[in-house]
Amino acid sequence: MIIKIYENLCKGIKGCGNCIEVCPKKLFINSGNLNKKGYILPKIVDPNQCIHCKKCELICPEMAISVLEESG
Amino acid sequence: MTSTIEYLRNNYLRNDLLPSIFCPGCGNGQIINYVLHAIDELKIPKNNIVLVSGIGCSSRIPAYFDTDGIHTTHGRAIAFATGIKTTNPKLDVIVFTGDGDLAAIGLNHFLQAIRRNIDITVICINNENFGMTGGQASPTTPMGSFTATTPYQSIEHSFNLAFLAKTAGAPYVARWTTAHSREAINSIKKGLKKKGFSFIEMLSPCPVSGKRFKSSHEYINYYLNNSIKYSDKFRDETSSHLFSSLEECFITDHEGKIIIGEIVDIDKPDFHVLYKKLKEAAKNEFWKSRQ
Repeated sequence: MIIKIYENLCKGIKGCGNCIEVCPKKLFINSGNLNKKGYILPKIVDPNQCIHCKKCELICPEMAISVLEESG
Repeated sequence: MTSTIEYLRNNYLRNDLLPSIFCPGCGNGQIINYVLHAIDELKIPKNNIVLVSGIGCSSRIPAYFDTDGIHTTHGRAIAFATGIKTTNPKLDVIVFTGDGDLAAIGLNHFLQAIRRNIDITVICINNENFGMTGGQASPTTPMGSFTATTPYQSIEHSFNLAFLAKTAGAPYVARWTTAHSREAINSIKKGLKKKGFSFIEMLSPCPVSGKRFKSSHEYINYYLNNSIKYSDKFRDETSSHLFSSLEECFITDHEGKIIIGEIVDIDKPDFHVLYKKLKEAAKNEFWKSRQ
């Protein structure tokens, strides 16, 4: 599973944090890193545990998360 | 291989304007996401869509779409949309409006458009206050809430817009929160396909101006745990909520639960079909009288 976070679009986990809330496997955690605009970014713990429910992709207000099933 | 979300962003949105100007955690971004998915799943061509909006945070939404759009005066979005749809009934007209825009200044336009059964889709992003101007109380602010203009709790009864639309006779009414993604997308799809006025109310977080929670994920948690599906058992159609005491603030609907779900789904002849029929009948009668 490839989960990609577009760092320049993300609005941070402090005001938003929807991805952390909705993930049923709790794969998103605070990364402690800031992006260019100073928002705290989330990061993914273990992409192999992802069950491809796409909840994070749908709930993200900035469309900054993309979940791809690995082909082949 | 391009990802779906990347494809949607590149195909339907104006990428140079992203990231949006909305506050972190605002529900408007989620509405953009849901509408994009709905349009993409229905395969509506981009040049057949017209987005109309009034004034408010949510009325900024059409600016991000790479489609035709019009940003109109306060509360008059539905009036403009009526004009567009009546002139060219082939277009898919979507109205984005906030609760202050729709329920405060534009309430009569809303009711009259339902009465005429204009074939438009209205998506009301209801954040229960006037977010753009600093969180003043709006007609949908729940009784007992703290806002900028009601610092000692609001004592006014509030509108439930979905039930208001049902009472006025709208053929399709749904009410969801931003936490219910798939349901909202399906409702927007149904609303776009419906011949007639379709109204989708979306309860949305306002973490900056709203006084309830300070971040979006708390709102999402609240929506998921405090919502109840509209059914025979929960048919509280009163416009407001009854409390035993003022301390019971933040209670939105029946027994402290937010009623969500598809509320109306019926078929009704719409304005444009009837107008076409009337025009033909009148024409025939005119020529008959001349013979």
